[in-house]
Amino acid sequence: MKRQRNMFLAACVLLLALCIPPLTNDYIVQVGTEMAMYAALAGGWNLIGGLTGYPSFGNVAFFGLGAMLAGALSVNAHWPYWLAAIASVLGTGVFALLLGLPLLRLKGHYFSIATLALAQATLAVVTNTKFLGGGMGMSLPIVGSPGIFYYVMLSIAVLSALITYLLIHSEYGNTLLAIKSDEVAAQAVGINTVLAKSSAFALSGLLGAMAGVVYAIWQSYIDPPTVFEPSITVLMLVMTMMGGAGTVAGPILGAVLIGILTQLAMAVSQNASSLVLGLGIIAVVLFLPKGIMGSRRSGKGGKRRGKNTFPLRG
Amino acid sequence: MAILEVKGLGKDFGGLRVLDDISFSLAEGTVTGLIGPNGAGKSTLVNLIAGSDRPTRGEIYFFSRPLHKLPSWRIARLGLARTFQITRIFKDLTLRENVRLAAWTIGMRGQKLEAEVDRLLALTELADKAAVLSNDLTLPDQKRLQLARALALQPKLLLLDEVMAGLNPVELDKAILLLNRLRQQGITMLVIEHLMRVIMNISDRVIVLHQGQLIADGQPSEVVGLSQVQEAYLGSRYVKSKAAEMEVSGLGGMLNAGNQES
Ligand SMILES: Nc1ncnc2c1ncn2[C@@H]1O[C@H](COP(=O)(O)OP(=O)(O)O)[C@@H](O)[C@H]1O
Ligand SMILES: [Mg+2]
Repeated sequence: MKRQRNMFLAACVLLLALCIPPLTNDYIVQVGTEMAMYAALAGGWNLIGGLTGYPSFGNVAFFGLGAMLAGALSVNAHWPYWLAAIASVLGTGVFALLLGLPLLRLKGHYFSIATLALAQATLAVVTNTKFLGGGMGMSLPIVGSPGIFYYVMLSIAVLSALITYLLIHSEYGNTLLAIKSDEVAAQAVGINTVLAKSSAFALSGLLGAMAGVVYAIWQSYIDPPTVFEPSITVLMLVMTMMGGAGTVAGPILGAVLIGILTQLAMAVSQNASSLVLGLGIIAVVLFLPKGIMGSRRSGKGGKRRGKNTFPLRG
Repeated sequence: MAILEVKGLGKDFGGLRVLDDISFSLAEGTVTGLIGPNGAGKSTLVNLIAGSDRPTRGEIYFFSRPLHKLPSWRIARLGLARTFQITRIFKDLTLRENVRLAAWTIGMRGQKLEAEVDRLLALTELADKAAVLSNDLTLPDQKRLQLARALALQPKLLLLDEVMAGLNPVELDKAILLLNRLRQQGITMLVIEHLMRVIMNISDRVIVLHQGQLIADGQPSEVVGLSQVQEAYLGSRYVKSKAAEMEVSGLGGMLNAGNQES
């Protein structure tokens, strides 16, 4: 029953989202495109940070690398954009997989700091690679219409949510949740944790790169500082936490809420938007440690664990 | 045939020598009790065998295959399962999902998978709590979950680290019954347990660890009579006075009997 209700809700939201371009103006469509982009990015972050319990502070690396690589292949190597986009997404996925292998050996704060460094290092490499623009911005041909980009971004957001849904309802998703609960125990039941974590990181990278390649052609001008902006990772994290880490709807809800709040704040004053973000972070930490959707199973009843009356022996 | 062979195993934590020169082997199909006072190194030994921790010295063979360099997930898939003294469960998953995940990792799928999970939940008397989030289970139930999850790996060798701690007498009897059933199925077991009643009941053989060294090895009834075992548990003064009593009553011959290899 609950599943049917959720499906119905998801269909309604999607239908509403599909109606935005014909029924509203370019401004709303642009804001909507950005929200869809962040829903996709936060959804990707959720796979490694929410489901697997490895809070990455460097996911913007995949977004930025995706954008710059696609731009360079299209502008400097003259590939058709669709081909450049596919190559860039796959390349970034492999990049995430290979970097995940060493990085995911680290835990907790060490992992977070290492991923932060990864994003900065990727920015530095991109900035110093001539093929990738050598730190200069890149102008891409102006194509499409606001409506088209909205629909493409929306598709990526839907794909991101779909992947999360399929994962959560699969044994592979349970593998990731098991790793999040207790990695030693996960290994003790035969789970190849290195492979599981790295593939989750790679999926996260693929989704980040997809958003990046669409962002590049949508904006038609990209430069490294913009697409590697650390606050993009922070937004992914905050949106996911606010909506509910480890849930399907959480990242979408977070992206939409933060998106609306930011727009409202900008209407008041340009500077207010970062204030809203800051307040949002504080509110999440203080009032919603599990996010709006709560943790995956918190709604479910079941016996509460009683007082621990059985002291463990050394 | 020896299912497990441990040769010269040692473990240091920093400067602390926790295990030193441990050698023994387990015969297939037997149940061996591993006893010793708190801090003797029993849990550390289990961690080394199962690959959750790496030995500082020595070698471990499972069906003649070296284990000491394999990651623990490979060891688990070879059919060597364990439980943790301080419970380690997948708290975001339900009880059933905890058990199913283990059966799934060794390649069970579909109807067969579900049937096996049902069987294990029934065996460990957890069926009525299958849908409960494992974080909400009581500690004894979490311990049974760990046992069911270990059995889902279809182990040939099972390492049980104080699975029965905290059970009441009725639950204890059931647990002993369950372990005896597992033995009948041919599962080799190494059982860490403090309650001598349990050890005497289920073990074919008992080995004793004290301050990181194996100090006794033999039949359960022999081992509990050994002076060094009693010393390890009760302190040397108690044993000396006890031995004096026994000398008088002519039972002294029991002490120091047998330290033989099996
Ligand atoms: N990770 C560790 N780091 C440092 N010392 C440890 C660690 N694990 C266990 N020890 C020490 O090793 C000794 C043996 O511990 P343990 O194997 O848990 O004993 P037992 O299970 O027999 O009670 C203890 O002195 C304990 O403090
Ligand atoms: Mg112990």
